[in-house]
Amino acid sequence: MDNKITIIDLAEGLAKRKHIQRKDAEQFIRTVFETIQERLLEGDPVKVKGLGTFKLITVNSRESVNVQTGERIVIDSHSKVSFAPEKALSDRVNRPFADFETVPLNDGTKTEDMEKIDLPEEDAIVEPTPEPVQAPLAEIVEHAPEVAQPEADEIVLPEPEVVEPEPEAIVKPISEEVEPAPEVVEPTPEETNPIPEVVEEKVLEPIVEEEPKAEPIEEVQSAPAAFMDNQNDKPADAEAVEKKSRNLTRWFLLLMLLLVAALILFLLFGPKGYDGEAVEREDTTQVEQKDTIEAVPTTPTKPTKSPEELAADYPQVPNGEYWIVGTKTTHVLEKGEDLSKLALEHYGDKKLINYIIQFNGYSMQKASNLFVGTEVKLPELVKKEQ
Amino acid sequence: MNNKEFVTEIASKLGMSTSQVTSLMAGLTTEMASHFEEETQVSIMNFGNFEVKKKLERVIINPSTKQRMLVPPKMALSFKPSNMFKDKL
Repeated sequence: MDNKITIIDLAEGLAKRKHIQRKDAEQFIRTVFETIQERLLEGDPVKVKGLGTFKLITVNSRESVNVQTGERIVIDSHSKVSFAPEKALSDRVNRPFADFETVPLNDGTKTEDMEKIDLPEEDAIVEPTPEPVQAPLAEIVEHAPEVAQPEADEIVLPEPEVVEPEPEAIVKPISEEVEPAPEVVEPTPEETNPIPEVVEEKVLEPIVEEEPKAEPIEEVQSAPAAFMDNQNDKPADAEAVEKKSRNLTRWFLLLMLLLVAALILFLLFGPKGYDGEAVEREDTTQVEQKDTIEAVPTTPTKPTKSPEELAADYPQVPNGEYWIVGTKTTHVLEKGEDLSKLALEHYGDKKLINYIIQFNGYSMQKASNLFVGTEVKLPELVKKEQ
Repeated sequence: MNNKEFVTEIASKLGMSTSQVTSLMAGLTTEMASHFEEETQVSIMNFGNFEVKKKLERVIINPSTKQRMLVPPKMALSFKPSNMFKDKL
């Protein structure tokens, strides 16, 4: 990837291809590029079949500021060479990614982006008083489903009085949490989700949508629903994962202790055989060992390892938002699946494909040319603390 | 200047027939393309560097429809003229 070749290597390749002297090939290549250069200098665009078009573009003079001194300077007008590769060539170069297409994003697909976009709005709503966030919630839980448009107005209105209905709305529905999808459209307050975060998102969604263009109600309603799905899945997963790893480390620690104890006992008493004294000693030493053993856990770092430390054992994505702290699962690729799809399925975000690629040590090229049946390791991700 | 003129000019410079030059050009371009495919940087003295660059995926917004689109990552061939070449401009 970092390797670089020159005319000489090119000439060698060409000589082999066309069965000519290397010297001739080199001469030829030099002439080709000299000619291109000459013609360009005359101001002619040069089209080379199989490669592309070279063109001179004039850049007008413009003013700029010297970054170091702050002086204003004028950059003279000059020409620069532009090169546009031929379609066939750029396609060939881009072959590893040829399958990808530009896709329109639906509102529900990209949770991360959504959050980013929503944040400012969230702030705006929170500003007036600390509570209103909850107040509007309750308000919307009741009213939103009936008419979508008035929401914007109602959010502004609600003040402390509205706080009362809110707890009911939130306590009740916990059991129904599991089926958020289509029912949300209906006006029953129970259906609209219990988890505060989710409701918040929901509140924000319609506002963002409506202010600019006042879209049909169904659309606005269904978008948040899809969105909620993601929201629900994600935190739950993350929690489960955390718990799991905590449990694992606990068990691991216990096992270690037992092993160490067994080993020490064996070393001390195994070879000697036993007499009365030995048994006594055993008791005392056992107690001692327990002490030492209990001291042990402080030294090994395993139980309290931070994600950062765990991450040290795995390849990391530079400047990424997450640490790779272990293997979550492995997945055998099936027909029609690719890494970005896996990323979407397992982490809810296509962008995290980077982590999968990095974790498996694939090159970009390999990553896009994986065969059906390839076993792909999916990394365990922990969000970096900022 | 189109390809035909280009080929004739080289032919006259090297004293070869245009068909020879055409065949050699085809050889050269396929040779270069094969290097590009391996993401090798091809540098031509006094002319410039050809390099394949990775472009990351990104989200764009169509300004008229406000539709958000995810543009996939891609590889693009780029050319950077050498300083010698630039000085002559």
